[in-house]
Amino acid sequence: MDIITICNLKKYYGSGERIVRALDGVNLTVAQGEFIAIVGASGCGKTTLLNMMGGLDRPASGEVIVDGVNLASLKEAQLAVFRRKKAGFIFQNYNLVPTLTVEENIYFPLDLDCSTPDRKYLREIIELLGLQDKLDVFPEQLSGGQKQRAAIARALAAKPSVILADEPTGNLDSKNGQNVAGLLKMTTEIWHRTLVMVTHNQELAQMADRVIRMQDGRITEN
Amino acid sequence: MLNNNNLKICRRLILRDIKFHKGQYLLSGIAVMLVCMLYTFTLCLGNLTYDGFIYSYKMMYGSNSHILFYDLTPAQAVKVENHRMVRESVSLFTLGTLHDEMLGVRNVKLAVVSPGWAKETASVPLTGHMPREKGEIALDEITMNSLAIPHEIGTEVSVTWTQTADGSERTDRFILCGFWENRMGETETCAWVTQETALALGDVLDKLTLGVMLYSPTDPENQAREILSDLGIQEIRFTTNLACNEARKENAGERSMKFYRLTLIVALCGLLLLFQMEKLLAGQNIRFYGLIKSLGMTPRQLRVLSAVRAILLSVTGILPGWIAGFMICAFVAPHVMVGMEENPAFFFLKIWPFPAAAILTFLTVFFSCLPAIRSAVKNTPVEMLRYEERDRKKRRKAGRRRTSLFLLALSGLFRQKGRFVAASVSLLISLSILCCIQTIAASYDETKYLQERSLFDYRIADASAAASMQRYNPKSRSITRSMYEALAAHPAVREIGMVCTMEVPMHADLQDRAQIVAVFEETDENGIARKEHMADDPDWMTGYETMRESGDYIGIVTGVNGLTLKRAVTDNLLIEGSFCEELFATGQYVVAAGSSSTLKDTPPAGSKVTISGREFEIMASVPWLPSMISGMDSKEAQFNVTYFMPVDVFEELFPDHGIRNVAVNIDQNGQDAFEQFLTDLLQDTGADVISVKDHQWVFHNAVFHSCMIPFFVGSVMLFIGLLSFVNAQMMGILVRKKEFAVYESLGMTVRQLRRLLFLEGVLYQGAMFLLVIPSVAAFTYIAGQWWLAHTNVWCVTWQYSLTPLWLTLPLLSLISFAVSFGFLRSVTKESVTERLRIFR
Amino acid sequence: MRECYYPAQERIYFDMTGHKSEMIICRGLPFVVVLLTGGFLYTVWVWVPRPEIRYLLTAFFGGICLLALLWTLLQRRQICRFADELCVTLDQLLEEQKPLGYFVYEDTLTAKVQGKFLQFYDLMSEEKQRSRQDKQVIQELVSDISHQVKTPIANLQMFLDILKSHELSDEKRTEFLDMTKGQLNKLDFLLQSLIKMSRLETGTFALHMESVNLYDTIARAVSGVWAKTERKKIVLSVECENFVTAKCDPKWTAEALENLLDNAVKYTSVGGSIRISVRPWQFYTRVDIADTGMGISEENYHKVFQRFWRGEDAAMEEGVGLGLYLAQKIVTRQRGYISVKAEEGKGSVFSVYLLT
Repeated sequence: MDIITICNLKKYYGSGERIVRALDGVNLTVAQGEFIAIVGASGCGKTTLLNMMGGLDRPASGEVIVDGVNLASLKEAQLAVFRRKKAGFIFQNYNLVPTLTVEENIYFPLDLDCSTPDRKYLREIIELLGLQDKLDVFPEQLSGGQKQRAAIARALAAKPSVILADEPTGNLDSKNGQNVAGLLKMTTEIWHRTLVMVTHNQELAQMADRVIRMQDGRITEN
Repeated sequence: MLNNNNLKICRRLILRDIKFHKGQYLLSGIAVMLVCMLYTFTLCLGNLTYDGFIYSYKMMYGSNSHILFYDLTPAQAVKVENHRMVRESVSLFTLGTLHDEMLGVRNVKLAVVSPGWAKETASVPLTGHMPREKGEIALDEITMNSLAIPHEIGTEVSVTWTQTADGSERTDRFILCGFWENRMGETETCAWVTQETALALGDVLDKLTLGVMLYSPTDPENQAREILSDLGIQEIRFTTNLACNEARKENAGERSMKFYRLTLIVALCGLLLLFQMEKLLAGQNIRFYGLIKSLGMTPRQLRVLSAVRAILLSVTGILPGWIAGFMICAFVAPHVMVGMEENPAFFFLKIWPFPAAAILTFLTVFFSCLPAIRSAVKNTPVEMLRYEERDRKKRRKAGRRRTSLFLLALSGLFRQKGRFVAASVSLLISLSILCCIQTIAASYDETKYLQERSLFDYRIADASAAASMQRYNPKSRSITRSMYEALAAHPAVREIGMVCTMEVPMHADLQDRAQIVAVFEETDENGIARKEHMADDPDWMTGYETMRESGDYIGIVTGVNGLTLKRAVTDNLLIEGSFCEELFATGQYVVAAGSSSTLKDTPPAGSKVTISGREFEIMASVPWLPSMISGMDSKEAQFNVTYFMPVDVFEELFPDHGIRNVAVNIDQNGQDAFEQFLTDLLQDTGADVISVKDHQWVFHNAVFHSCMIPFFVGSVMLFIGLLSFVNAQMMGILVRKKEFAVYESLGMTVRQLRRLLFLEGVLYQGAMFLLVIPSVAAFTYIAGQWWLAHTNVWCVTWQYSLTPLWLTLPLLSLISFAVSFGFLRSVTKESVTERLRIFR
Repeated sequence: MRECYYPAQERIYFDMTGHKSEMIICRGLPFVVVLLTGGFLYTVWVWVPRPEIRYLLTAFFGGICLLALLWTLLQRRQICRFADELCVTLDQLLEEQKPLGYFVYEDTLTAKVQGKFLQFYDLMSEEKQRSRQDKQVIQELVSDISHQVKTPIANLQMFLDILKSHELSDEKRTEFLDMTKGQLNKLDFLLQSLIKMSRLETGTFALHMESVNLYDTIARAVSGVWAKTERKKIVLSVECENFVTAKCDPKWTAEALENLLDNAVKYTSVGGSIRISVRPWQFYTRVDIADTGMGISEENYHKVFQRFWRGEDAAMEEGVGLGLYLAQKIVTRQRGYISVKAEEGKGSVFSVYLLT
């Protein structure tokens, strides 16, 4: 079953001569439970593609269908609900809410929806990611690896259909990067989540079920 | 559709945000406080002005009641009380009116104690008590002064009064049992006696005066008629409160409107201020909004978030704002409403300006947040998360020839031209306002004012003319001839003169009449007939109409000598004719005084007038100087023509007269001794002294009053300008964090970086000064000149001043360098690689 | 702070007292309204003397009452619609079809509750699908097994036929019997592997996760391939601190490591070397198995772990292409993972990440 279908997706920045084709006709399908790595040189549009999948950005043309719904047809408010329910984001620079504790950060997508958390599930995630001692700590007191683990927990908390990771190890050294990537793979595998990861690290990319290479806004290898 | 109940998170986010960024919120809170303070201040002042004017009219009228019905029978009174338009009423049994020339325009009624009425008219004895026994009387201080009654309980008082019932005049003796101080110079008041006394005096108490409060006093004159015709009562005399007079209300409204209009400017300033504040935090806020939006915050939640923030900010700012605003108001109020015992701010304290200020503040805060929140709702999270990067992208072209620090600085400056212009504009506006105010304030000419207003070093006024609302009583003798001579003999006295006045009924022939009428019927430059300006003074209008129809009017014959003659005539501007002192001294001539230096509202020079049967020729006409004399003339003499004549001639005509004013000029050396002498001399006489110092105080007060508000506005604008300036500086450095890192990685030392920033700062300021100084100077000059041409203030001489500019500019450089180096320090604290990695 | 997340816990059962008080309020509200209206009208008639104002006030009050009524009705309508929509969704679920016409991404209560229903539905259907998938996997396995087993059995049959039908010399007979034994061994190995695989694939075996000394585990794995390395003259070195522990099932982990080592030995030419190094990290303990073999090209990185996949140039080596697959399955089941890094012609490094 395909969870993400992308049809002829285009996104241009700028205009006239200085137009930047971030995405230039991308077609892609991602099956439920799959782990996909998107690799490519920087500036090839891989982050833009990921943002499109998560409804963070609007395409110029083309379709992004996630879980049966075309994101282009959603209004801003609906897109927000989509993001908190269906997409779990993991950013390169963590993007934890600095004013909330780790625990509150993890619960944040649930609190945004005001839905009751699945406590057993969350406790399991927290323990697996080794965050049980850091729950009442604010993000600024955490190391990079800890921050990213908290971000993973947050991404998983709302049981989203897809987890979208944008260079999750980009700001970490290789040791912490391996740790984080392993945990990411493990957690998504345990709970059968679909994981789309953008990276330029081959070593991480090989952990994926499928590797997609991008160049100049196009998919060169699937 | 039932909305999701997911707003709790907003509250937590905001509370945490406040906890984490206390400094920022404090800063924003202070800005909100400033805004609220200004609103409270202007609204309170506006309210105070209006109420103050209305209050003074009421005081003049002597009662709070909207309508006073006279001579009602008790049955009629009950009817009126129950009329549907009447809210409440107080009644008063009047025996008669105190009949004494000395009381002047003041109308003092001998009345039976009525606590309600006393309260309504603020005539409850403060010393002593209300009459309780037969033969007791309670009076107010001005009346006592006019009647020369010592301020002592138990004194026997002889009162002459006219009985209402039969119009007969009688004199009775009472014992003084209490008196009260007049708040202002009420023109109508009561002398209280008990009912027993009244009955003993032969009154049957069948006529009463009814003070009526209406539900909506829109047009009391007609409403009074309507009440009477509704009830079928005829031939009842009534008066209406001056405070309900349309023209007076309009006047008060106009004056308060000045302040209310200022609220608009305050709103604009507040918006700008908060907007700047918001912009200062924009980078951080936008990224924060982008972050929570990327995690799935809906626009609705974002809106609630910002609304909660605005409410919290307002709540923190409003209370201190109220207090600060009211405190400023309390500080300023005595300068605005002169002549009250209590602080007018407290006296006229009302609730409504406070909630109004709170609401306005909240709206201002809300609207200042609006653009940020709108962009937060509209933009996609990706755009918001890359806010700073976007800013960086804008300027990518420059930076080719990196040859020297100077060129580098120049290019850096050039790239920031947008911010530079924004900061300059608000500084430009604020400095222009401040310089204009400074120029205007400096242009108010104290010497000119004093020359005009303070004609003499000291002016001593008779007790019956001590207060400005008191009618002068020619029979009063608080300044005697011997005192005058004693003064004249004092070694410090250089010049001395006196003023004696007498109201004389006169008749103008057709020709004279035509000249005067022509002046008042003529329209002025505003297209309004001159007489319309006097519409708020019904007595003047009556006097004028009488003169126009019959030619009868009141002439105020004024005797002058020595110093007073010099000031009134010799030194004065001649409108018409010529003045010869010797001829004047013969007693064949008089000098007429009109109301202003341009209008000829007196009988023409050369014409003859008859005063007390003796014929005089008008030698010349001069403008009348209001500060020559003190006190008031009678109601009938509100419309008058003054005739100056020598004191000797005056004495021949009116042998039995007092001295209204004595004017003295002294040597500055003997000032202290003279003042001591004066106090001793005038002790217990009730006579009043006005010196130059008093006039100086009034002048400074007036200047302060007229410049205060624009000064406040200008200061706030300057604050806004400084904020935007700091903002521009800060952003300029923060945005170029990476650029600096690149320079550093290429081998530039921190010292060189600092030099680069210094150079940039110098260039930046140089450019700004080049822009600001000439424009402010030019604007101030033009605006000042325009003001000079259009102002109706008479005591001005052009005085160009740019002091605020010279004060602000060094401060500006100081702040600029402090901010640059402070931020450079915090920026360079991070390692180069860390900074290079910020934006990919 | 943490408690405040679970307020719903206490509210799972209906609060009867709250319910009762709500009932009382509901019943009492009309009386209160009537009382208030009466009181208001009375006050107005007594205290307001001017009739215009009186009517104005009454109208104002009436307007407010009307607005309140309107608002209440609107609220009620919304609640009714909320209930109706939920009922429709439930009906559809009962009919075992995915609910339609539901507002997935509205920020409303309806959408929220419907979302929960759907989650439940998905959970149920996922279970069903899982068992179907398992069946399919088993089927595939069976076909794989039958395919793989075919050759040795055919060989065996052939050998047995030869032994049975032909008169052979003793020498020849022993040779054939040896060959038969070899085929049987192979069959045994294959079957062992297939059983392991099937267990791993269907998840019908229990892993006993415990904190074990990794040194012992590695030693166990190494002993399994020791003979082969000796034979190929491969230098095998182990870099491991004594105290390093990992959370895993020692037997299965040794099996996985052995498979990897076996693979390494297989593709390392004579005289090469294999280095095992262990690096304990915060979350994972990394076991690197580096060989000096032929390496793997980058695009084949994640193909090596596929079932029955064998490199094109590895045809002459024996093996069925299950070793790496099994190793990965075992490690993944233990919540670890394997990654590969190789340089063609120079050797490859398999890294096993085990939970610390």
